[in-house]
Amino acid sequence: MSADEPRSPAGDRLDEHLELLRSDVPAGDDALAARIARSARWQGAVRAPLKAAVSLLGAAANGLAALLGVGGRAR
Amino acid sequence: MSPDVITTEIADPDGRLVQGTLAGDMAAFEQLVDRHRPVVYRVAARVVGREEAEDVTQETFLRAYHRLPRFRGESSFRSWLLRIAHNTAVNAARRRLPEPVEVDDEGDEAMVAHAAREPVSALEESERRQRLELKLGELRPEHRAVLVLRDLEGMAYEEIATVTESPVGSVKGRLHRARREMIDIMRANTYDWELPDER
Repeated sequence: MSADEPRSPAGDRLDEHLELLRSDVPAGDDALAARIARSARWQGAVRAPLKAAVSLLGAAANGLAALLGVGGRAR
Repeated sequence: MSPDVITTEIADPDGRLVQGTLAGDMAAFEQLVDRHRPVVYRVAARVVGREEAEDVTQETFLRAYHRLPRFRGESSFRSWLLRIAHNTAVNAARRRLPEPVEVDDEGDEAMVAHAAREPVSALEESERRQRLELKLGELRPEHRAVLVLRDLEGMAYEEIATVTESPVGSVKGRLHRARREMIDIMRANTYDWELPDER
C-alpha cells in the first residue's frame, strides 16, 4: 500500500500479512517460454491455411446452394 | 501479419520487438515472452493459483500473438499484455468455484516429512502463506485481481485502470472493498490475524 493512502490500523495489519505473499514470488517453469513460442509458431503456421480452407468451403457451399436454387431469398 | 497497422510510433522499449513479431520474426516474439513472462506468471499465479498459472500464462501470450495486429501502441505493450492476462485470469477464476480446504492423511504425512527438513519457523511461515493464499482465493475474482495488481505488484492506479479497462475511481473503490473483504475474512480467524507479533 502506498504512502498516499490513509491507512487504518486494520489496513496496516493487512499489509503486514500481504508482505508474506510479496516475499514469495511465484516464478514458474523456465521451459514455459520455449513452449509458448513453439505453440505460437505452430498455430501461426496452421491458422492462415485453415482460414483459407474455411473461406473456400464457405464459397463452395454458397455456389452449390445457388446452383441448386436453395438458400436465402433476396430481400 | 502486416506491420502497417501500427499507425503511431510506439514509444515503448518493446516497440522494436512488436514490429519484429508483426513482420514474422519469431525470435522477436520469444524475446517479448522472455521479458514479460515473470510478471504475467506472477499475476496469473496470484489470481488463479499456481496450479493453473502456466495455462493462463500460455493462453495470454498466444492470444497476444494472434491479436498483435490490433495493438496500436495507445498504451505500453506491457499494459496491453497485462490486460489480456487480467481478463484471461479473471475468467479462469470465475469458472472455478472456491475449493474446500481438505486435510487428508497423505497431506499430514507430507507435512510431517516436510517438517523434518525445515526449521519450525520456516514451516509455520509456509503454512501461514498457504492459508493466506486460500483466503485471497475467497475474494471475488475482480476484487482479487485489483488487490494483486496494487498491493502485491505495486502497480500505479493509472496502469491498473488501463489493465482492467476501468476508470481510476472504480479501481480505487474496488481496491477499498477488496481490502475490507480481506480484513473481514482474516479477522474471522483470530489466530492468523494476531500473528506474527501477537497484538
